[in-house]
Amino acid sequence: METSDIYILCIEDEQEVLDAVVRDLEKLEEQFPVETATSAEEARSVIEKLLENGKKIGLILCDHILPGDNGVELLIELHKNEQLHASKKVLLTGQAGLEDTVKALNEAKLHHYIAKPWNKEDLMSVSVELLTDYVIEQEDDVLPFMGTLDAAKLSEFIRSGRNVSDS
Amino acid sequence: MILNFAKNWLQDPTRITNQIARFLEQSDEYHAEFVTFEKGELFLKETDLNDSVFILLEGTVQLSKSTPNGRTIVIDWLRPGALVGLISFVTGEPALTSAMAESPCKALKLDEADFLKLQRSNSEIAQLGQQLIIGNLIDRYHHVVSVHVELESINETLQKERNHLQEALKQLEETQHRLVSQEKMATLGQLVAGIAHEINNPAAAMLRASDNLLEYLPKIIDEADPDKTHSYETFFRIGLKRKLRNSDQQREKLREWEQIYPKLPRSLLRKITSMNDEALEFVKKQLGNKPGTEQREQLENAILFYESGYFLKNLQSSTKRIGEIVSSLKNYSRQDKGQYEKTDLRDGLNDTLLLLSNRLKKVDVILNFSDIPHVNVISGEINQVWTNLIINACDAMQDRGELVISCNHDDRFVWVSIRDSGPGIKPSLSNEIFKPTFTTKQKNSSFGLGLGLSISQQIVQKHGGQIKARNAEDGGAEFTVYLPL
Repeated sequence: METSDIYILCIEDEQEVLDAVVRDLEKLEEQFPVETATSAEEARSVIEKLLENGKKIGLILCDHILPGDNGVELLIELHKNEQLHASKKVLLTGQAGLEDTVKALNEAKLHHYIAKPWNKEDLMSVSVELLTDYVIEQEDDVLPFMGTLDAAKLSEFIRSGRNVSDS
Repeated sequence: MILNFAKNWLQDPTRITNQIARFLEQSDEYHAEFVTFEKGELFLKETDLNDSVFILLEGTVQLSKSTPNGRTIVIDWLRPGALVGLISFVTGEPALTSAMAESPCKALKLDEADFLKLQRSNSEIAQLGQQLIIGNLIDRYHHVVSVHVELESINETLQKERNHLQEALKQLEETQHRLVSQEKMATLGQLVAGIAHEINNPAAAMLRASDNLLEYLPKIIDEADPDKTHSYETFFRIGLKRKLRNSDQQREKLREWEQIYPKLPRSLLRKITSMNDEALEFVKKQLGNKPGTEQREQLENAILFYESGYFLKNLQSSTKRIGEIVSSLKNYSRQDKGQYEKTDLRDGLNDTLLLLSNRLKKVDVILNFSDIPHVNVISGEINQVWTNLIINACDAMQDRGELVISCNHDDRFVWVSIRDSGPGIKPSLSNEIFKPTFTTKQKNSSFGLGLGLSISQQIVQKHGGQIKARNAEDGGAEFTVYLPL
């Protein structure tokens, strides 16, 4: 499996929890390299480096409470960066109030919201679906992703003839 | 003489009345007649027109008036010597009040002709008539003045009572708020104690299980790899001792290894590079310069043992953490006791800090604990004070800054002070803060009733102590709780 230049970024301040998230996404890493950050500040610098090197970020999983920052605020901030507009954003939370969630939905175009403790299958299927949407929206050629992502959805997309490079 | 006659009349109204009555009785010129009224009979009715005036000779007449809301109020009582119906008679307007015999009455009834004749007569009787009228008016005026004075004093009493009632109502509302809040806290305490108890059992079971695994696993591993060719046990122990690198260093390590072993998948390299440096040297030796499929598969197997060690370590530390939280919850709520006990205040402070650790994630907590003697307190209640003060501090700092908690004592008091690095207490508010329902918080506050400080103050006072608030020299608010030894 060819590694793509589409990254998954996980932001979580508790190392054990971060480990668990990364472990759950292990299967995806064959194709989507995973990067991690334990604070908002670190996340910003990781993103900067990735973008500098011409990498893309397909999926951002962000904890709700981070030292020095609020995950919702961070997602909103990241969403303002044009290069991250298309990135799929997921909030991981143990305690979202309705107000915060609504804010994230409206202002950060939050795509999903995963309550802690999550289960592995849910996290995986949410990530697969969102990355599938991402490659459909952003990639010229979706064929290489058939093995890792939602093959049915990808073939449907190819059949509908919207995949320009494929024609 | 003229100046005195009113005084004569006031001193003895019946003397003049009787003189007039006698005169009229004897004279042929007047058709005045004596009339009698039974108790309850009306002399005249409010709003009626009236063509005669009565000189009351015996009995009492009650004047009353109906109010717009349909009630009847008593205006005055007339006694012998008084003129009944004078005003409506001389003005020709409807009677202002009703006049009713309160006891059997006897009166002399004069019509208009009689009245005029009485006024115009040249004899002594005219003077008496004038005295009668002026005397009556003076009498009524006295009455008006005294009614005004009485009204004023009634108003004053009413105002006092109203203020008193308002104060009582306010106190009642405050008490109700406080009771509701205390009730909530008590319920919450029971709930917390119940949950702590329920979690305790599975947590204990987990701890026991992981302890057993720690004992059994090395034996099992040893059997799987008897001649230690695969170093499984070594990998397991490396996992058990795993220490977390900071994530920048971790990222750097991963990059480094990706360059050395470009063929190995990133997820495998991520697991390897989470090992400590010593272990990494060991792995490098095992892998060699250009690891083939065999080495890679071996390593993948060994990694399973490394991760098992790490998982077990995680299991143990997480279980231990749950145990600590549960014991803090139990200590904190203290539902079983609720009695005064010799207590080390530092324990309660530590428990409270652990339970609030979520709130304190971005706050630097600095503890300056001196040795302090035990104090006789109800722990559950005192812990509520710490909670309130710490939550207030967090609110004031918007959850970011420095929280300094110190304690000390002299021979009379132990004190604990909690200082935040927020904006401090506005001088204009320093008298307000302990009042119930005082709050500077907006809608985001956790309890929202503004009762935190008021309840804390009450709890501390109940323990014979007090809370003092001031602004620290370098800004920030400082609350100090003094508890007697």
